[in-house]
Amino acid sequence: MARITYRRSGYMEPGESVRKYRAWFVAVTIPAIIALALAFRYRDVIGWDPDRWEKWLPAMVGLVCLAVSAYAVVRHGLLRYLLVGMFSFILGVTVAIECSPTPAIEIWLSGVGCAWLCAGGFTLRNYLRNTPPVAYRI
Amino acid sequence: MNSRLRQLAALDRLIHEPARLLIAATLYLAKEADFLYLQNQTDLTKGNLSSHLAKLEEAGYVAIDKTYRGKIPMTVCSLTKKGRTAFRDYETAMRGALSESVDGSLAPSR
Repeated sequence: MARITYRRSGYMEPGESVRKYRAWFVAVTIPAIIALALAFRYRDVIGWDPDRWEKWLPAMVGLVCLAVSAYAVVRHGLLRYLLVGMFSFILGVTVAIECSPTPAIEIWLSGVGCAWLCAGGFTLRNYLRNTPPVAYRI
Repeated sequence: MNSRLRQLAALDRLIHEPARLLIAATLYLAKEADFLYLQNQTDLTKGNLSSHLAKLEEAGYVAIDKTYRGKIPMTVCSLTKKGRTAFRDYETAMRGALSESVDGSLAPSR
């Protein structure tokens, strides 16, 4: 009877790459700064009222997620973290504008939760596709 | 002959060998990696990988640390400073020579 298992992939501690760090930093911070500047410039159009800060809670949480995911990208080189982080920021801004105040954070949480599940699913799929199974004869 | 292209003759042959180049390139991107990871990345056999690692270690390019994770023996490899410099020099020389040839400066004149 054959038992199907998967190879251990080994251990690797990723190294710091200054060039890579700079590239990711620029890729994340410049669009974020431009987005914030545009939001401030057109605050009347998008309805940015400083007294109603809770309206922008999803966008702020999304921005924090983006910052944390950018750190994870720099540290571990996982591109999907950046994609999920950018998605969470964009979704945060969108729901803050369109769905505020009541269901915004709920929509944001479910959207980002689904994004993480999809990212995990794709990772598992890629791993199972790219790692050939090893059959052990007992 | 172009001086940059002439650098090809002076390449570090220890790194130039394809299997060792694979090992060095893999380790260059990592702080450290274990034997199994290197084997998976390079598709070399255990014996082959072991002998190439030994050559790189002998040259002072790779540091090998034999340790345990729990009860499992683990061979952790990393590029030394000398190894990183040698790999960077190799990369620069190769890039220089290849860019010269691809740019057409080596094309025969008509």
